[in-house]
Amino acid sequence: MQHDGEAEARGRNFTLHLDKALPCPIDKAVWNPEKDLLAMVTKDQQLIMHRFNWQRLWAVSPEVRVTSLCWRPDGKALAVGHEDGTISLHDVENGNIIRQTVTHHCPVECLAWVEEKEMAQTAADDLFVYEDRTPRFFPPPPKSPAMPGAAPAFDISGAVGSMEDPNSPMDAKTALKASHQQINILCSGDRNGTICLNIFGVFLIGRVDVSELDISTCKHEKDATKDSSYRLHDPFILKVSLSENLHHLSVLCTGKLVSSHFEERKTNQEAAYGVFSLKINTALIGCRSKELHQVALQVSSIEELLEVLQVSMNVMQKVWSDAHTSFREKFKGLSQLLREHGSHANPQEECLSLLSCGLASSGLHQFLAVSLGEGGLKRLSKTMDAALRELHVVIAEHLQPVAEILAFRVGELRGISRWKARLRSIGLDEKLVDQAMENSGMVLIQIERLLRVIADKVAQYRMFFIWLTKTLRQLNNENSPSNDQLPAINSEAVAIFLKTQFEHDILGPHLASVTNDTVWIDMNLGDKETLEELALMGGFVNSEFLHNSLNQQISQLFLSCQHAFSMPSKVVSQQLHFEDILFLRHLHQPNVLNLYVPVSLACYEDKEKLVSGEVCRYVCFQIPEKTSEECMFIVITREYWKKPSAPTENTYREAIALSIGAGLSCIDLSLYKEKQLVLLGQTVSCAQAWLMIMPIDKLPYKNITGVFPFDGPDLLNVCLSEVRYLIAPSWRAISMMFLSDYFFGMGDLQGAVFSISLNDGRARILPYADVVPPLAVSASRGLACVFGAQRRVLLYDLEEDEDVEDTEMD
Amino acid sequence: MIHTHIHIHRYVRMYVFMYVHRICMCVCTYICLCVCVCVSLSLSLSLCLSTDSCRFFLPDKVCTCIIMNTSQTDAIFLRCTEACTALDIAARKFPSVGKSRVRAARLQIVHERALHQGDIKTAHAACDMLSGLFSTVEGVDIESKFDLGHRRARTLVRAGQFAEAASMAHSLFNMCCKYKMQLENIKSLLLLAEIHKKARSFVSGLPYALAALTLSKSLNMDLVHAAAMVTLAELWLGLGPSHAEQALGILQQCMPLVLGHGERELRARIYIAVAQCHLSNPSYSVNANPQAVCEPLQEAAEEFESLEDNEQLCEVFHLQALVFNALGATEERDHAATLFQKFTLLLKNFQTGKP
Repeated sequence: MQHDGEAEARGRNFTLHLDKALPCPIDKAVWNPEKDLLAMVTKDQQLIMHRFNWQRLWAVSPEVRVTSLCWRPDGKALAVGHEDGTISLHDVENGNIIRQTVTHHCPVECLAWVEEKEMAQTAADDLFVYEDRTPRFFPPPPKSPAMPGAAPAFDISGAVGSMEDPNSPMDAKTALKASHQQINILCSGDRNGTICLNIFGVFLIGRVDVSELDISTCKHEKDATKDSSYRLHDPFILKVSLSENLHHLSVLCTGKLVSSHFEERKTNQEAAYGVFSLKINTALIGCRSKELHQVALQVSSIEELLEVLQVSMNVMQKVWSDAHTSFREKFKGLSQLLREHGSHANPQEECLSLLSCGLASSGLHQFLAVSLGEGGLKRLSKTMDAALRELHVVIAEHLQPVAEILAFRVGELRGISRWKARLRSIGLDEKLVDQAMENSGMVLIQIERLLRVIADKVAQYRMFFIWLTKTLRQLNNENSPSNDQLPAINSEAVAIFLKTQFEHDILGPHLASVTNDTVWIDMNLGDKETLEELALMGGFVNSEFLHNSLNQQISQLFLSCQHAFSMPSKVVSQQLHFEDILFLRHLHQPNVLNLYVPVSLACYEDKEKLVSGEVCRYVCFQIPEKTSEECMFIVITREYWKKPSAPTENTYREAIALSIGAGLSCIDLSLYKEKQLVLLGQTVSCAQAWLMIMPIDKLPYKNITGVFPFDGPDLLNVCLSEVRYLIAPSWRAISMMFLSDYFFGMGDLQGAVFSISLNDGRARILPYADVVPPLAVSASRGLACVFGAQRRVLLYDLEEDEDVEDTEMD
Repeated sequence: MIHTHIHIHRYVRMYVFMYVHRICMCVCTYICLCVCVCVSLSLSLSLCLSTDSCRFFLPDKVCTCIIMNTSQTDAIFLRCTEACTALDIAARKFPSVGKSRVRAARLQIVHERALHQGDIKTAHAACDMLSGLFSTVEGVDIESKFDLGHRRARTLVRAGQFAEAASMAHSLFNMCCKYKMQLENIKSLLLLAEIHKKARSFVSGLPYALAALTLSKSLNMDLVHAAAMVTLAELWLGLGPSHAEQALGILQQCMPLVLGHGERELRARIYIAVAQCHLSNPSYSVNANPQAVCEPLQEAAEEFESLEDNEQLCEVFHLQALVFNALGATEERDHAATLFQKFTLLLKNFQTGKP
């Protein structure tokens, strides 16, 4: 047939790179924008990463079902949206989770990660330069200490294990930082219509609830009196995209458009249910991108540092409680022995009497000589000493440097927060940051105090154990010369130790966890006086803070930071306004959960019109159910708008419906590079599958600017309007008021239908007929990946035709 | 004895932390790079940053040094009253040591205040007394000498004796070069630029500001660099309205640093400079964007008021009255005008020596 002839002629389009078997059908697939890597989610919920040559890099099995995937623009991290609303970032190298954030409460349906492109810069933009000075003044922050194993001291296995462990977090952090040169924003949309914008994927800057947007039709001046405003009910986000200058957020979602006026809602029983294309004005983010970049940079580092603080505290708590428990356990035996020997004195009193008269009661003697022994004493002493030294090391090498860097970073943040003219609009509040600054200063002082307390403890425990060893040897009548080698003891210090610390854990309260409310650390009078004097000189307002434990202080700092950093998203979210809406298509069945809607959205600056600085957006979607026609439609709309947050008058919009030739059907589509479309389809009889790439910028688009009421008929009907334009009965009531507009505009609204066949682009017949979505296309690498239902995968190079390569090979 | 030392040590550590908290983290961050600003200052910082040093106690002299510096920086960052409280505490805590140092610190505060208020006579007297304090048999350290010279030159500038001030600044510069004092070197360059600015010879001031800019950049002294930027912007602004935009650009570059870490005077200066840039820019109209001018002017007024800087306050309120007049807000305008009148009178009183 004619079809076959064409197919033969075109058979050599594209280069087939690979034809491999798949272990499991694929649910989602996304190409890495920088490298030849393909991330896929299988139907049995495995996240796998394959190289271009189909070598598997890694595979992880997330606990929660994966609902969306996207790459960071630099290709070094993969964002994965889950069914429970979490978004996790995976390292490209090994699949480890770098960060996990919970920003949504229901399945994350789509993700888009957009990097700001350097626009043709005006002189004014160049002036706002912010610098992160921290690396100039501080060494890289230490990582979290490794959690000790069962034995806290002399843990060789821990030391060996730490060779691997700290490596990966460090890599993760460098991977996280690598892309921080330019601001990039991760947009995520969920099933309930909430869209979140995260800078670097970690710092939430804006949250839009589509169902709460005021959708007004006051575009036309004469309708202004009417004040018809609408709400989109039950929104379900299909796709989001941010323009490269960060001024506009494009959203494709399904939902029910309902008038927000109660009476009107009553008269119109039927709501417009279907797919909508929304445009949300995010000009604030675009205008303040440099400030946001700096704030996000500092905030994300501060959050990391806080994490290190918390982990270090946990480690210290564990180390100390282990050591102290073993100390306790050992001396518990003493009180038992004393009771058995009929003595009513407690161990503390016995020890004190031993210190004062040098005579041990029989119970104490037995305990020291038999149950403890010199070896046991030595071991216990070493345990305590090692634990205390480890605490010292953790503080000196982790806690203190981290707290210093943290204070510096908060200070930098306070610096920019004082520039109200620029920073107030993005919600960085000076007072809140001041509060965080105050708390970080307190943490610094608390850490220093704890360091000193620990240094004192080391000396006191050493002294105590030396005294015990000496006494034991005397009791055993060992007058060996080695006894003289022990350092002299200060009996006063030992007495103080016995009185104050032998039975009480002095260090415990300092390390106590936050939940322990009863912690109240005594401050000596001098310290208190000093603090009050300091307050006079402009020190900390709260002169009582030394009563808190370090953990409480850190949690206070954490809370104040959280409070300060949550403000920007609150303020910015209020500034994200509805800008434009387009009714794409009517849906008959309200349940979209099982429906796969092939849809593609691309937003970029038009290179040809760079001078006028226009942004171009292509939306491309397929009408899946074959209405009454035998042919299938794909509708493409494109919009241009002027770059600097233009008023809507500057927007113009065009649309076209592509009717796919008879005998063909489309399975999936994807916009490719700029102004090209990749289609994956089958013949109706399912005998053959085809892949086609076609340019779409020269199609005969029709201008639909201004003539198109958003709650009227859907876009396909508008495109078909010349052929037959009927107002469906249900639309009549709504459309009546726009009718005059219609007839006014109808003159130049010709039908915009263009029928395509495989001749309209470069096409290739695929070896397998049973292709299934998804179609994964990489614009940057020129690759397409097609999956077959028989667990096959085909990899095509879209740029090179096979003929060319063959001749080259010859 | 040991106990008291430990006590002192603790006390000093506390101060040092306050220091870190309030000042070092911000102002003297360049010390981290071991650019020596002042012996005691860097010592205090090295104390804070090195954790192993907590086991030795400090000689008393260093203690007082630290406290003295704290109080001085207090004077710059907070108000005179706080600085005096700090000094009182210092005098009470360490009665034996450095009475002359406490006295010197007090005199420095007095001088600072008099200079701001425009009280030239008192300023001169404070300088004289300071020099009297320093010329003891103990010998004078070079930093104190520089400080005194710097103060004298500033007093001369305030009194309008630019030629004398310039020659003094030149000799200061020579001294700094001789003893390789980098920070003081830059400071004297900035002083020279300032003198030229005050003498309204902006073009001849530019090379000094630029030299200070490059030097501070190469030495990583961020805050001094920012101060040099502000001076440069002020010089550009002085060259005429056609340079206003450029000046504004320079100011915006150093804005976050100055606002976050700069001393009060520098902050006030940058605010008023921003307002002046807008006002002298021919393409700017007050009615279109009044916030751009009103806010910085208000901030500048607050900062200068706490510094008791009468001369600058006159300027601020003058500009404020003009802006409010253009906006048609008569009530605010009248209020600003009254304040302008008040501070002009005050300044005149100080200059003529009336109480």
